[in-house]
Amino acid sequence: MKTKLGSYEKDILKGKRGEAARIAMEVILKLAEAFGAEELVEISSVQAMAHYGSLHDAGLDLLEKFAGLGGKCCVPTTQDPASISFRYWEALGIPKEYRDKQMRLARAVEELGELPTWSCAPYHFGNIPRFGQNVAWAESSAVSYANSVIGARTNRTGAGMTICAALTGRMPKTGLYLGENRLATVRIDVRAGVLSDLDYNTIGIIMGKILGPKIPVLYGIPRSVTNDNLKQLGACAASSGSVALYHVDGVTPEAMLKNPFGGRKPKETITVTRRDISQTERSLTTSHPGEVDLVVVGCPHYSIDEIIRVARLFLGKKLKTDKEFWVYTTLEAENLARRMGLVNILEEAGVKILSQNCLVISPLYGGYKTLMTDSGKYASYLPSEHGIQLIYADTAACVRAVTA
Amino acid sequence: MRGDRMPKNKIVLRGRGIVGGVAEGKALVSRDPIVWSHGVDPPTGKIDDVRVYVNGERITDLVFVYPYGKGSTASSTWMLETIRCGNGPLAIINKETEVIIASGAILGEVLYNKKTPVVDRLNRDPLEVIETGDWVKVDGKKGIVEVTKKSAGPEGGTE
Repeated sequence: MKTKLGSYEKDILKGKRGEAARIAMEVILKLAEAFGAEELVEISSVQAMAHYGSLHDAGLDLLEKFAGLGGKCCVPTTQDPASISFRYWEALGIPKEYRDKQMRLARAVEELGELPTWSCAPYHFGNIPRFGQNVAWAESSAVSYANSVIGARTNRTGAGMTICAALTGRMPKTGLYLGENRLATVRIDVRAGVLSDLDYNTIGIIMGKILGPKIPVLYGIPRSVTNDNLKQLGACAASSGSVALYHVDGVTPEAMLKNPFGGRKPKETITVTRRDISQTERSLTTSHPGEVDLVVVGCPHYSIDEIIRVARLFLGKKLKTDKEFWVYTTLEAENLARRMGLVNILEEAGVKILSQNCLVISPLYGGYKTLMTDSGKYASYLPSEHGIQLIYADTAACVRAVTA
Repeated sequence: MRGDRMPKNKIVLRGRGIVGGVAEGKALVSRDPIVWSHGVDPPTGKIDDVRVYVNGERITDLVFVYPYGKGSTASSTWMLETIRCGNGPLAIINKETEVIIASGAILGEVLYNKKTPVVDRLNRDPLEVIETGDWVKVDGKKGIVEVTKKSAGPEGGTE
């Protein structure tokens, strides 16, 4: 199918906005024709990826090619965390060659005019879409948040394609850019009493396994649910399945404005009970955990509220010898926490704040054998990614396990 | 197609051409969905996802058949890196192709001049028709897949 183009798109294809934009538009157009898009959609922001752990040399080739051709982002563009901690990389044993590749990506990103936020949660700071706005985001957890919690519209944009969207401001008008594709087909009733922070992670894992890419409406979630709980729920559902959009009755905007099933009956109804949650929670701890040597929290990046919570748990406590506790967050949340005196509390207890970084996409050195986390997404990815044992438990238990 | 002259062990399937190009070779079939990100090792082309039945098999220079992709949006650059290393598949056949996989294949051609035809939505379930080791020809522009069974079985005939 031929995709309709306007004068803006045609000008780019003629090279009127430079060679980088021309190549990027050709790529977008190939994608549009492949999926039978009638036209392109104008996008307002991009969440890209520039971490060496996923981009490899091929992604570096791509970004340096576009940067070398003088390409500039034409919409606000942020990117996922880096594959190193810019502050602690040497102390964490990252080889210099690896660090150099990540720094080359960082240079390319800045030349291209991206905002160097390096966070998987750009909606905390730097890249906050409106309801109904079309954006082109990568990062499955951020895609889920933008679509579900905010009601902005994005597909699961592939790394590499995001830079093409940033250089042109266009994406094929397919999938979740179209209202009719945002309706739910599955009803999920959560009947499990009062839900803890960890429960939202576990429910997300259950959802992803049941749904694959299907869109659900959740019932039984209280209106007081926090944005952080929804962030965790969506991140987990996107890691165990590929859920890009979920609705929550009485909570998420599209479910509040209209019938999220589009007036049709749900094709399936599933009940999630306390027993399901307990079972899945246990299954996320690997089979042979030893004594915990490293706790990792902040997947997706901790918000300032979550840093406040963990700092309170550390009051009057210190890490035991040979134990580590790493908090992944944004640089902006870290700075705010510093002004509040929280960084001081955490660092005096021995905690490292690894802002702008993430363990799923970074190498792990130091011979750690058993990790512990309060994140369902970390629990799904880290054991296979780093060949370690893992214990999945709430934040308070994580702090207790390594402090005296 | 000339159904009456088609050999018994040849099957023609029609679907949606996602990424153009023609390629043929032996098939590797996974009944499990595939995560490229952390699931395929670019320097060797080996599937290293322990949750997948074909774990340990190489996809290099084979027609890779699997239902659909799942997991991370970083899969497109994992696929691109596999192509850069010369370890990509000859072609990809899915039940439903995700934009992320099409992106990897399109960028592979733009950056490294390597065509990886991709076809989905065939008129028959490719996981039912194609077995590992069958000879498969993929036309990614026309969306046509020709399967020559490794052994002539009851599957013969044309659509």
